[in-house]
Amino acid sequence: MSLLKAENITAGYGEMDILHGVHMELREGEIVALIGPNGAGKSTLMKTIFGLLRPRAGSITFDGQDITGRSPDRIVRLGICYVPQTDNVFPSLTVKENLEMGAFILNEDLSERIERVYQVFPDLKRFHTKKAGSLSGGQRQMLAMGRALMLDPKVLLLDEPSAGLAPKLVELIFEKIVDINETGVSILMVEQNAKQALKMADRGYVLATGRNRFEGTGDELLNDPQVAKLYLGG
Amino acid sequence: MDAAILWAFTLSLALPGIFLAVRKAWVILAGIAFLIAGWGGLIAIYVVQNGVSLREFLRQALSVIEGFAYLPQIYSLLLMVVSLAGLWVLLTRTNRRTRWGAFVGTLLLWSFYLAAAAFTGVPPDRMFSFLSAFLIIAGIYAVLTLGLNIQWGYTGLFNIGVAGFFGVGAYVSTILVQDPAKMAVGAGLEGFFATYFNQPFLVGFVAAMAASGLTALVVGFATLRLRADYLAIATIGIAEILRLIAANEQELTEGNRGIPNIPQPLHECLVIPVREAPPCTLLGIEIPRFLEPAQYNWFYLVLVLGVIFLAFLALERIARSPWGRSLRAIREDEDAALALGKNTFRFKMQAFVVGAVIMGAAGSLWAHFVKFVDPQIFDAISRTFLVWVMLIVGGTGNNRGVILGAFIMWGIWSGTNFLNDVLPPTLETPIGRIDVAAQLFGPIRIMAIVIILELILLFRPRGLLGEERVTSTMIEPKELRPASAPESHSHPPASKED
Amino acid sequence: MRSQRVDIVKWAIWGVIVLGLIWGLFFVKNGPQFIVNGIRFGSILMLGAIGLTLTYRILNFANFSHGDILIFGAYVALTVDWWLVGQLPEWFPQLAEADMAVRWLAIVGAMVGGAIGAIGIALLIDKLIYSRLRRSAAVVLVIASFGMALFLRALVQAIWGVGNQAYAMRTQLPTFYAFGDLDGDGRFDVFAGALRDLIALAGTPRPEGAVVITMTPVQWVTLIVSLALVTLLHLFLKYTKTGKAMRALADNMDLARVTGINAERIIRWAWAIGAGLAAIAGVFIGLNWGIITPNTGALVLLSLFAAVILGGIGSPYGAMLGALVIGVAQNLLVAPAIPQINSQYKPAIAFAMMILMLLVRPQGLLGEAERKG
Repeated sequence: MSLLKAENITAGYGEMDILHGVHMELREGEIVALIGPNGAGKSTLMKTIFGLLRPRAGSITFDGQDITGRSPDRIVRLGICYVPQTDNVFPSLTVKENLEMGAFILNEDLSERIERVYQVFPDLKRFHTKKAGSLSGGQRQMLAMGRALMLDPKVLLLDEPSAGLAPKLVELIFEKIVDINETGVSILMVEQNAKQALKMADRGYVLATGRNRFEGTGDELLNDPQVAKLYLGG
Repeated sequence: MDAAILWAFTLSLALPGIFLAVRKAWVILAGIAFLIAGWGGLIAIYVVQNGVSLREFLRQALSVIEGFAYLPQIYSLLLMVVSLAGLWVLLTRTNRRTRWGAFVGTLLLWSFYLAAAAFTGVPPDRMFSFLSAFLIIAGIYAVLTLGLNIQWGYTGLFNIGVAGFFGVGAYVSTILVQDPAKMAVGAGLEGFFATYFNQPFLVGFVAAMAASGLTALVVGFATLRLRADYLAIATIGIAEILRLIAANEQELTEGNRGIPNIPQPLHECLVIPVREAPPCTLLGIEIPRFLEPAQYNWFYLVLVLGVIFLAFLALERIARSPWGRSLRAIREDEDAALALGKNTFRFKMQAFVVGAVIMGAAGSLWAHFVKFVDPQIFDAISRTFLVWVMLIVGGTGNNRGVILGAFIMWGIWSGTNFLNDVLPPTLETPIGRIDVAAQLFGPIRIMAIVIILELILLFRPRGLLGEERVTSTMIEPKELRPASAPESHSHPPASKED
Repeated sequence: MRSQRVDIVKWAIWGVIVLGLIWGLFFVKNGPQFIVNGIRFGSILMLGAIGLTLTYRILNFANFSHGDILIFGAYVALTVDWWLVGQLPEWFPQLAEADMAVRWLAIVGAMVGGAIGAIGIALLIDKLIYSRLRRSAAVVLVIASFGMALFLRALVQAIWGVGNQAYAMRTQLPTFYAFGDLDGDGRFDVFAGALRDLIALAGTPRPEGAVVITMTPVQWVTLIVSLALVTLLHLFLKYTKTGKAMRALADNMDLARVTGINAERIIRWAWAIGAGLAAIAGVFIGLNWGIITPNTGALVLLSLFAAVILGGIGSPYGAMLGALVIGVAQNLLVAPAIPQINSQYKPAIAFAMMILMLLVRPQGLLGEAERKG
């Protein structure tokens, strides 16, 4: 069942358009990977979906509702959470406070939710009262995702979750992503690490120069010789 | 009846300005024809009915203008407005015919009035004395703003301590030129430095520029590596400290009393003295004295216009030179310029000092015209703020616009000044007696100018940011800037700690 | 990644501060008095600096109108103060005889009134002007705030006039606190009381080797109330949701938006807190120095900026620390502590320290490196 759909999106910064009529669909329970070379517009698409950028044309639908151009704090309330690529934690706030900020729009006791996040990321628990600025890169990434999970979102948007992480940590992060997905969260993921992303994804889209180039299931794309040659070489 | 006619005539002079704006040749000609026909007809009727000659009529009219309280000021202001409109058209439009039309129209306007004056033998002294003072001060502000244009317009240095450099120039020029016999306390520095007093104006002028440049050098070393807003705070601090020094170092500056009776350049040489005095000589040639005391200001105006002209030429030259291009590059994106291997600090320092030198010159011109300096010269409101508004109104980076902006804003500022004189000094209101000058016009004038400024910033920020392409910080929200994009000029990173 | 090396510069600066304090306490004649004066002035500066640092960090611009919001609030408080002094005995006849009580109550009311006035005008200006310039370059906002500074000053001048004005508070005699061997019996005494008692006790007005500090009731109130307010603010920032969100916004406004925080609402809170505290600071300035003028806000602005930069932009605790350091330095480094330097140069001291800090450690004592986002 289609959960999140982007149709015919044209968007960009200033006078330049980065996306030219891009489409994408995320179905319930899926992991979808957006891959492609640098500058292809993957992050831009994600930001457009989340309302950080207003598309010049096209529409974004969530659960049947048109959410095109809505502001992030309204989209968050609908059940879509976004984890930016960099600067995704508040350094001077403690881990606990970072998580609390994730659930800012709620007015209830958050201790249960925090516990649940710690179940997904047990390594974070010992930093409960430490400032997020003192965490390592991998720990921050986990905190950032944990923060996004505080609202029990239906959809999680991840912008390059493995960026800047050592290979061991990359594996770990991807494992966590699969775990999260198994709890029922649909995931849309932009990734540089195309091979690994496609391995765990149900489906994928390949974007290049702001347009859809290929799409299909994870396996299809992995085994497609054209895709492999152009985008999976590294 | 006379007054009514006078007011109508005065207002009708604003019509050419409107016609100039329309820019169609036939409209302009039709307008001028209408004016001539209409007024000519009215005058003819009046002359015939009352049996006076045309000459007599004009003489009466001009006498009334000269004699009636503030009419000379209003009149000259209106002439100024129209002339400014013509000047604006001349400087900013490129259509040959439009520029000729503006030039001819303005020329006609002035010729008409001057001819009338000559014809009737009523010299428009009051109007001209007001006008000359107005033009001189506006011109000094124009020089000041040109200096700021190099710093901000060309190089992007955010200096809100303009008053500081201006004041340094004024004080240094004064201290060097002032006759020690005229100063009450302290007579400046004694002993070694006393022999440097009583210098000719030129020495003071040059020293003012040097002192201001030196101040900029010192200040620049400490502050030019800082971010834009830190530089702003630092420059305002400098101006404040200079003010404190001027107010407290009595031996140097007479403190809050100020230094009065500052000599004026070539005053004794050109103005016919009350008592007989030997003429000045230059290289053995006697210099004739030919100015009436009231006419001295015209000489000063020529001096100021000369300085504006030279500064303008210099700035235009700089803009087109390789040095100027480097400055522009630094303004648009300092990090990119750094990456290209340019020693940005040195360029910034040069621009800062050059701008300050020009500001010092303006200070010297001011001191010798107003003939008085006191710590008030460092006042942020009328110096720094007004100069920035002049820069913004005229358009950052655009030298012609900057000069025009100075004249326009000074027009607004001083135009409201005489309104102040017209009303009584205090007013009784339900909430008590208020001092009109301090509580009504002063504040309301400032508030009005601030509102103009804020409106410009809200709707036409290019006035501040310049004619070039707007930086990336303006067109896209910060979060959308791709992670790999270079930081724009307005947010250069501070010292890298982590 | 956090650097592991020892931050030499930071410790050096702390060292200088501590050395300065020791020098002031033990090696300057009447040093302790100046230090106490400095702490008092610093506690007033604190209230002003907190608002400045919050809006500086969250909105990324140096608000040059902060000093004039401070003085606007102070003038509103002035009107409320005099009005209350007249009205309170009418509303509460039992107060008719208690002159000082009435005056103190009026001051409390005045502070509330002044805070409301300052908050109102700050929010209005933000809504009309700054909110539309959120995405603009820093220079646009600085010029805009510079303009608003002059606007507010002109407004104050138009409404209240140009002369000195004072609050309705009686001048009070100071209490003397002496520490040392006051009666020559070889033992350490501590004494607090009126001057004549002190003279009677020791036989001379200033016993050798004794430290004497004077404080008037107004000065005590200034110190205590400032510290109390600052403590309340700390609790607010640490334990309330809005306070945490404000800290989050100071860290990274864009991330805060992404998290669902309503940035505009938090920004309004920041303005409100800043303006409210500034108004109270203005009242204290008027109470401690006797008079206020329309230019007082501008005079204090440089010291406020120095405090903010010293402590580190964005850190309220840094602002508090910076304010205290600046306050003490301004009192220890000019006459009468150092007779050669005219006491008029206090702002110059603040300025010099600020420049030094900018050159040596721009992020301040408690600040992080340049903020992201």
